[in-house]
Amino acid sequence: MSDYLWDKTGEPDEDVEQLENLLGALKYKHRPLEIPAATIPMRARPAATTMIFSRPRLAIAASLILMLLAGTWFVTRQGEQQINKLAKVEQGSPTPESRQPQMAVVVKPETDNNVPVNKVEQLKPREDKNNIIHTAAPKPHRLSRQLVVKRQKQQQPRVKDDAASPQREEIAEGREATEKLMLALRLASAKLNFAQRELQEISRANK
Amino acid sequence: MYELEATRGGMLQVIGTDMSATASTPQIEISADAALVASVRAGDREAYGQLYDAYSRMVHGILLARVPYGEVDDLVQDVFLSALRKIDTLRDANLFGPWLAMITRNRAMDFHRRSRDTSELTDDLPATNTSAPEAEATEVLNLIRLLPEAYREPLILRFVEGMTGPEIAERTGLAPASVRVNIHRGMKLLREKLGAREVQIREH
Repeated sequence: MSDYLWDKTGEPDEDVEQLENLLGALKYKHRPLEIPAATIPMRARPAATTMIFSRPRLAIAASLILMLLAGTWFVTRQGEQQINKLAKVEQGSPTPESRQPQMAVVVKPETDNNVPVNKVEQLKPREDKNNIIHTAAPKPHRLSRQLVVKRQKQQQPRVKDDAASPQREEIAEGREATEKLMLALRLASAKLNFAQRELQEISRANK
Repeated sequence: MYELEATRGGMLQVIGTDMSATASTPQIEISADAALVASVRAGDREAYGQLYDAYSRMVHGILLARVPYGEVDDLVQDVFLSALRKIDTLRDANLFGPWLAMITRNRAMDFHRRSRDTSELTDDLPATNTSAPEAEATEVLNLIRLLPEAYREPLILRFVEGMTGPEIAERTGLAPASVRVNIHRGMKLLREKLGAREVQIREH
């Protein structure tokens, strides 16, 4: 069965023919395709491997590797430094016997006065905030003794602190190391962000 | 050794001529478009020129169904350039036509999105500097644009670009049966609209 509207076979319908003639005036007037040479890169289809190792992916991988390397470097460096310092401390520090008198000097503080302890506490209120004696009600004898004992106890750790100064240094170094590590991590994350932005721009450009 | 042989439906057959391989080698069918796409990917610009010649009418018709007449010619070039840039993303080279049709529809949508941001454009505006028959044709075209979307494209490809139904189906990748139905239903609606228009003209 012929159907002119469908495949132009058989008897043409009058109105269909009229429409063809009328609308034919708007048909595509062929003009050559202008391909700007600079803007269109004509290249062979990239292989699957090149698709996997695309630029943004490589950037992300590189920043991750950098981050890992930086982390390991900081950790090993800090470890070496700590070992060196501990070795130095051990070499340069006095023997326990020689240390003893020094500690004794520090431990004996205000009780060397001839004034009784309780009077000292009453007459000379100290500005030390940790000392409860200034705010406490004057219950002279028993309380002040207790406080003296307390103060002695408080002072003892100070001596220990002096001895533990290498440990403090180690802690400070540890903090410094973590700060550096954090800085490295921040740098790495900034790089990752940059790579992500680049990826988005590329995908937008491809669209 | 293999030879490419064109078949009736524009398909190319890869036929094994090596006697030792003939018994076991299955015949692989590659469309002419796929061969051209492969050449384009290898950097052959002339092959893209051939694809342009084959599909420019389809692209023009699809755009005409959606975009003002005066803008269509430039957009045709845009669509082909855009397709060339994206040709590596085409997975099945046999489906170049449907892929290009999709790019064209998206480009038309983009055009409307952008023009909405800048200024309002109405499809009813006749093209400037048009002759009398062209102006009348634009009027009828505007009537076609009032039809449902499914009918617009096949009718314009049929009447404006002069393509047959089977050709429309082959190029756009639509089912021939649905193209046929859409052309007939669209024509029926268009007749009604044209009749109403004639009545209006007589009354004035």
